[in-house]
Amino acid sequence: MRSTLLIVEDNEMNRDLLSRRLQKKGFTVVLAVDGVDAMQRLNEVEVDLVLMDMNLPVQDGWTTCQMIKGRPALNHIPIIALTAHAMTNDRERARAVGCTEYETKPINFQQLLGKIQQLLVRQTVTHH
Amino acid sequence: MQEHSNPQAATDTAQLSARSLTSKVIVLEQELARLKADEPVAPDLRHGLTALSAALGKLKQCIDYRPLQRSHDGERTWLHDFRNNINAVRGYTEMCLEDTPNSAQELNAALCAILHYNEELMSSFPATPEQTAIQTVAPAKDDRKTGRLLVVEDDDANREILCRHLLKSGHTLLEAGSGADTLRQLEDASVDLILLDLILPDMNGFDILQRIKGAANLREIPVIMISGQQHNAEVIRCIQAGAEDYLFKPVNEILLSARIDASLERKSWRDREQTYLAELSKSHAFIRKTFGRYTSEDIAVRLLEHPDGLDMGGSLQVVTTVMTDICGFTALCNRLRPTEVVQLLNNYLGTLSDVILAHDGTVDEFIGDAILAIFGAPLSGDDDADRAVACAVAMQHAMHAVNRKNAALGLPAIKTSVAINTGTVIAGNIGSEKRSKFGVVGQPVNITARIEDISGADDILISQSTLDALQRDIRVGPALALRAQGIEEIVTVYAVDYASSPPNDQSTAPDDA
Repeated sequence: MRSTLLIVEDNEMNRDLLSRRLQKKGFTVVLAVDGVDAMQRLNEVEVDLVLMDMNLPVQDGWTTCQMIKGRPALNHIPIIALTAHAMTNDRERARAVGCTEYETKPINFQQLLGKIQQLLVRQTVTHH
Repeated sequence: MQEHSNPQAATDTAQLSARSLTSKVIVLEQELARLKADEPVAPDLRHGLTALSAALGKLKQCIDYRPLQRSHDGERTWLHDFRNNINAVRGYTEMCLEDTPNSAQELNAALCAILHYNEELMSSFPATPEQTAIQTVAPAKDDRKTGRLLVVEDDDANREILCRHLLKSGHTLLEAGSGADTLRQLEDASVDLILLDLILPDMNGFDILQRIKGAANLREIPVIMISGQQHNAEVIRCIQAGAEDYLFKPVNEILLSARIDASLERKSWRDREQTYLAELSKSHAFIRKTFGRYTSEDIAVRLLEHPDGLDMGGSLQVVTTVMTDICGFTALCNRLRPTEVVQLLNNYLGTLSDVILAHDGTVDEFIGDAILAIFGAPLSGDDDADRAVACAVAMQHAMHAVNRKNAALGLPAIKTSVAINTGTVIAGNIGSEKRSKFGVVGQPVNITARIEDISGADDILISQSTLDALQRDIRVGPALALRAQGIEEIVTVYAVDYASSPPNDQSTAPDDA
């Protein structure tokens, strides 16, 4: 069964890029451009994993992550934080708001892919 | 990242990587067009390439418009944008690479290059604004010599590596990928040093070296040869042809820096020397030109060789003075328009001055329509009187040329008279330091003027003293006694019989061409 990924990214190029590459790897992709948009998608579609850019307009990634983790219906979904900043405390902050994994831009796609697959397997195991 | 402790160097490296990236965009577009023409491109690849093009454009824009005022927030926002762009380029390139068939070698190479430059561009910038802050207080650049370097290397990758290293050292770079390109760039840019690859696609590096060393305007530029061949014979050949130094590939960066520094240092000394020499020759040329208007080139040169001759003040010297004027000039002035008078004067004075200079005389002065010429000053010779007489004869013959020109201009024919006298005068630079003129004063000059007063059309009158000073015999008419106003003694003068003597040797004024 194809896993569904939610990509939350305001940068159009990167959103397009990530969605294309992941679709080619066999994932179903759902897109959101900001935090508010992301919450709406999560209400509509069943998502297996979230890729979240932390620097978002309208409602940033930090707040959005906290909202996801605060909802019982959604808090099992793993989140991979994506950030263009390489501040050392970003990683700590990401974990603090409930992100499972963390990747910095420019993204190492193979590494990201590995993390996605790992998290999806773990999720499948815990679900059954 | 530590290696870019100099923010300027980091920016330069970034500019270079960005430039390399931009140049790859063109390759990419060409490849895309070719793929489209050749065979149907997979839609994924087509989309990827188009997106990559756009991403590269955005990245370049981002680099170009980096805010100069680096506030903490501004820098943070910029860095975010920058990393997003880098991310897009990396991602699209990887994606395209996955979709590119192995057969499309050029495209594959272009994509790999983009990936490479992109990574470099990224690592040329600090990861965080905090690091930027530290870097802005980086130590000032040491005052090593920097210059405009022309890097000649046909292999793109090698050239980029060289350039990147040289940019870090603060040099300004020009690049050439072929021999023709090199010569063209040298034509319209001034270069301090050339790094020349020995093997180029269109020309041998050795031939280019010879061309450079054979061109007067390029000869001084130091050339450092770079080659993959470790042949001592080749090294010797290049050094003999004028190469400054020689390096083997792979080029050791420290060695290269040292050689470039040494070459630039030497060149700066040579340049200073050249500037000094140029100034010297300029002042020489100025003196020569200024004097040349009045004396022959020969005398001007001799004066330059003996600068004492230019001292203010004078000396007693025996000179032969020659004076000419136009017969009936006052009456002519009344008949002609002012512009015609000037035309006529210029024609007459110009033609006769040339004759005087041709005889190594010095034109001392134009007094209205009269010319006062000196033979024997500033530098004297044994044949001063002989040259003066020969000059007078030549001047009379030159009147044909003057009148031909006058006729062509619709001006009347004119005649001239010449008076010659020899005697001891005070010769020297008369005037002030600021404005002085070489001249002669004394009674002999006044006597010459008096003789000129009594001379008629076509006459050449010489005094007894001139006749005595002559080394060669000439034919003269009977002696005439001249008693002139202001002159106590009686002056004996003779008319030179020149009609029989042909318009001889170099004394003839050149006909108007």
